[in-house]
Amino acid sequence: MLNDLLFRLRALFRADTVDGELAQELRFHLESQVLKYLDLGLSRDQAERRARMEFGGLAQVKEECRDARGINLVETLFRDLRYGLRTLRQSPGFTTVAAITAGAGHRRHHRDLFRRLRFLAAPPAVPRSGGPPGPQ
Amino acid sequence: MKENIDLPQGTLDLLILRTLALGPQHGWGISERVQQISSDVLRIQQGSLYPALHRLERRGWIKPRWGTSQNNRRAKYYELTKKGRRHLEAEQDLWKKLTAAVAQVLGTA
Repeated sequence: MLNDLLFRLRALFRADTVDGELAQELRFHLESQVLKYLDLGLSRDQAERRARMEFGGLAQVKEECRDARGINLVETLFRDLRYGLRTLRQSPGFTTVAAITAGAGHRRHHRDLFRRLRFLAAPPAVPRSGGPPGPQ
Repeated sequence: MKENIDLPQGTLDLLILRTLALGPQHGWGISERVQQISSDVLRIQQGSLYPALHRLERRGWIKPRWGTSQNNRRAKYYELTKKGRRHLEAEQDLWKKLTAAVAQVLGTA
């Protein structure tokens, strides 16, 4: 459990290092396969082509490793948030209008909410004819 | 040329852990060793090997260590943890029971 958490945290907060290590790991695999084919007597060109063909899509392998690390969802959310903040910073006019609109919406919503709460908390307008039987 | 058999679901983890029980190894070494030991019948595709290694690491069954390969390159070696060894033993028992039972059923048909 702790291992899982530490593993995911490292993958999340040190994403560049982890991605770099993965790229290095996959490159090592590809190079080793090329060396094996060179030993079997293939030309460098043939060896490289065959190794690459067997390897399949590098990007897909990387993506599946990210899924296996169990951080893809959180990572995507972080990336979207960062993108959103950058967009807001780059267009101050839009940000101002959006902030005012959101603020007005919140104000109205809270005003309605408080009105309802006050209504609920207020004592009944018509007093009851007889109170509930109290202790004698 | 021998026929290659696709790995049944769940056996990849078992093969990786069993290979690492022989000693630390990098991803390429694991796929080569499985291929050799199975007399070329089992081949692990990279597309499934590396996600599996990352999944096993996340579960704490294997741990990585950067080292130098035979051809003097920096390589990521994986080794079996104690937890991984216990898991391997349990899975091996299950696998033996399963294959024995399936063989028994097939034998009576």
